[in-house]
Amino acid sequence: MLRALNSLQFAFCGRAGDGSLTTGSTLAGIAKTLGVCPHIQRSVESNIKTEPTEILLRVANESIYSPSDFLDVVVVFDQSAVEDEEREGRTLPIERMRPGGILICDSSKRFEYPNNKHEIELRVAKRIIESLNLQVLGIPMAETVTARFGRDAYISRNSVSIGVIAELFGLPDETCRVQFEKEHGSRKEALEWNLGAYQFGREYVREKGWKPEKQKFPASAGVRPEDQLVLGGDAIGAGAIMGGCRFYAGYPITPASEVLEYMVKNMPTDGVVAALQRKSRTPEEKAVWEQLKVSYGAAIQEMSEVRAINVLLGAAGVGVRAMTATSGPGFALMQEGYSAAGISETPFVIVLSQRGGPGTGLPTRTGQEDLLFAVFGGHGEFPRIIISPRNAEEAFEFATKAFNLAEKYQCPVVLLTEQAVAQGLFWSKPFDPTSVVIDRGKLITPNVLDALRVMEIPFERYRITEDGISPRSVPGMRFGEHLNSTNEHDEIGKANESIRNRIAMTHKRMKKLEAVRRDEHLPHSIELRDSKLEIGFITFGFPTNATLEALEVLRAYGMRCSLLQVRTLWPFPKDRVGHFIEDHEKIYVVEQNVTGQLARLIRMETSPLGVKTPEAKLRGIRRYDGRPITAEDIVRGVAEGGMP
Amino acid sequence: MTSTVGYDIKSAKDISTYGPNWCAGCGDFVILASDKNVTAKLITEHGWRSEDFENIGGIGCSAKEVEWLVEKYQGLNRGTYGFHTLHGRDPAVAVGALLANPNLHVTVFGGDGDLGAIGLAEFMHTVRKNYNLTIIFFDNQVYGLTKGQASPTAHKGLVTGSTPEGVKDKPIPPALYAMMAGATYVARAFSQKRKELEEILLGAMLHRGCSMIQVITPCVTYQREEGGKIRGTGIYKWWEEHFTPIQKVWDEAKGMVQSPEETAEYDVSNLLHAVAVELKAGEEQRWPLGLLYKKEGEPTGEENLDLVKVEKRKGGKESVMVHAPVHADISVAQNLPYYRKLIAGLR
Repeated sequence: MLRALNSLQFAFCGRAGDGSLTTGSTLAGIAKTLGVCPHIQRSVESNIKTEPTEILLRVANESIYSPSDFLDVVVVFDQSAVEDEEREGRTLPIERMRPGGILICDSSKRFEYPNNKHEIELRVAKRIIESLNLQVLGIPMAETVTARFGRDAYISRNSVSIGVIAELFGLPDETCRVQFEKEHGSRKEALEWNLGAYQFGREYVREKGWKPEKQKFPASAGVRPEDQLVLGGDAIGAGAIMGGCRFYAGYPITPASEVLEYMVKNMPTDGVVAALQRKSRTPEEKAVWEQLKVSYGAAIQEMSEVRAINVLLGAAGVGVRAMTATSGPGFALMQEGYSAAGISETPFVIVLSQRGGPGTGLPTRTGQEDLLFAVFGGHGEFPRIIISPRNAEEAFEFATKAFNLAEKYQCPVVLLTEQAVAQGLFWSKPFDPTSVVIDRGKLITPNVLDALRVMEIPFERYRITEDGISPRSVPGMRFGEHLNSTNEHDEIGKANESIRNRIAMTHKRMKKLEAVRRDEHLPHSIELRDSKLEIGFITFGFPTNATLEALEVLRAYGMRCSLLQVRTLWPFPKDRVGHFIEDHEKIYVVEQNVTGQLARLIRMETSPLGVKTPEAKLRGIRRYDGRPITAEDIVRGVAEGGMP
Repeated sequence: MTSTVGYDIKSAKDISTYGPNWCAGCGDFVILASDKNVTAKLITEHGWRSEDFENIGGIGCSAKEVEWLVEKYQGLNRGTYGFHTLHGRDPAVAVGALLANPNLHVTVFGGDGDLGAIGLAEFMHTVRKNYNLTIIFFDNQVYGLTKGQASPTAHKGLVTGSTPEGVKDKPIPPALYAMMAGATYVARAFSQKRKELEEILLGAMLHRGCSMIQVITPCVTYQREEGGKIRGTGIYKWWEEHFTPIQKVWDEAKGMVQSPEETAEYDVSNLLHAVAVELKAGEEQRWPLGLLYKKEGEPTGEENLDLVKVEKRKGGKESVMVHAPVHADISVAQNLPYYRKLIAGLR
């Protein structure tokens, strides 16, 4: 039974490095404890300490996975929230506020250290404040906190805003305190500062008698204490480890560094075991690290993406489940390895976390500009599998499955994601490791190799088979000796350029894609259908979330619409998509790029099936400014009839 | 679990009978034959297992070595495992193979273009971390498969297809780079001096740490004399004139090492001695042959990653414990308690 969606969106606006993300996360944690569903998106510049940063926290009485266009509460730690000081043409957070919204500002006088830009002058935004009829709440955050705890406590000023919000919306004091303890409990001093700041915020609001004019904190969405608040990047890392990944090599790049750091921190290694061992108290916990000893892997930071992909090739080639994570510029450097894995039939997983391009582009912002690059990247022709999750839950599931797909079909698998997923904070049910299945495909056992030897049957690594997939031995296995090769090769791997061999091997490799299509464990497309078929949305990845939300809005207006989320993008589900298009009067392809890459793929793949997709029928709704697409964008897109 | 059926490699003949497709007179034939001999020796005399050899080739004439070390022959897989990879990436692929399974004996067969030009970064970073693998640096100063352009080791004045007026730049010094970056076994050998080559190669394979052998292997097809005329096997003579014993260069170079306590004898474990010899020889376009530098007991890259643990036992004996990620038990049942811990961390 669907309730009306009630959501409230907060923006914490400061400079990079001044703790806005932590503050947003604190409030998200409090919301979660209250059963309310939180979702966080970062809107930051590529910068460490000085440029404007906005952390968007949306809370709702239903499960949500995307931000909204509008802001209800803006917390101003810095002038950049209300003024475009460098005249770059920025859209200011204050301009995106709903009429009657709440503006909470630090009203402290100018500080020289540590941040001399924080003094907020609201008069420059007088016109906006008046026209939007904003409720302005000034509170001397930094002044009070530093006076009470000293200059080093400056950053704790953020927690004053939590106190203000908690008091305004009547959030229980105990819940807030527990959350602070959870976050700062290990550092006594920090906990004291933050709790003091929080308490001050609450008292100040009470003193002034401030009340929200119309906003209400959403009711519970039924989020349970055991549920997770997880970054997409962490979900991928956790999924990879549980999917049996025991080798990671990567080069730091935004927005994929989360995966690198998760893998280095959590890959079972001697160091991780030692850390667990130190903390262990109970016999059960001791058993954890005893068991871990047979499950070591290696996670390393490499010197470049070029090197990382080739290290991966070597590792996967000798039989370990291996992964790297990168973004567009890094993936560009990995093309030779991608292609080499194709011909040498080496299974590995590349996490491609897309950002705005081209070139350096928008390093910290989202986009879906590399879909066709992943589908057609790498020189030459070879099979690859591309899957794309929409949120943390799917990111975890797809990461576990990616390794089975890679090993079963002996080809590279791209886990195609984007900044909004990798760095977005999502609610999800607890991941279930017992749901993970390990399938190593045609990896051969030493017994079989022995038997072949007794029967004097040579083992052929690249044997031509019915489904194109050959049995696979790895170094260390006796009698399975062969050559992995990036040259066109014969069945044992030796270079062979004969016409007959070339054709046979090309067919063998490409045939694997047909087997992939039939795989029941492949993340197949998901459909949400309505009875009368007026409008159909087709999506992949993050925009699916906003589209789902838009769907509810449009249905409330009496429009009949349905959604198809393409979860495996390659091999392309041509039949499924073709039929979906046939069944609808109008199709909107929602994606985050300017050229309509998914729409192009659809046209390319479905037209041979006789599906007519005239321009009028197949329309696009696209956002390509680096910001995550919202339900408002989609509803607006439908109202305007979409792009060609 | 060692299998008991089948055959064992007893001599170089058992490795592969394929005939290489290099030009007649090429030095690479000798390197292949030497490698086969050393491999057979390691198996028969040192108890290494043939299935643990992983030979990695880049791209070029040099890299093709790996093609002739494997064979399907009368119902048998013979030879060793290998990976014919990409241009310049052979050291990276080798590192991946080694870290995923440190039980393997990993050898890189790379050329001067492979390791000195496009893959110099791969070469340096592999050497720097002292991974326990052997790099055979085939040096003939030219690109053979693309028909004779200058490589970064080409000496000043060498006329090639891409340098019709002779090479003007300084060549790179692979041995110097390797020892400065952190290789712990650095040598130079000549393909025509097979006995010495095999000795050096055996030493490199047995060495724990990163070993790099620069093997001078003249290109009879594309290496030209001054003036641009192709020399054929006459090139060997040119090389013979440019080789020199390490001791001879040391006698001239020892003044560079400014320490009165230094012994006058060349000390192969002294990095300064090796550097002085290489600098001196490099200035004069001479190539000293032999073992230049060897340092034992340095921690390897695998040890630094805790994949390999070396413990000294009483009586000076060492025990080596290896953990190979390829042998990790990845079943969910085995790892469930740890996975639950990870999930608890995501709340």
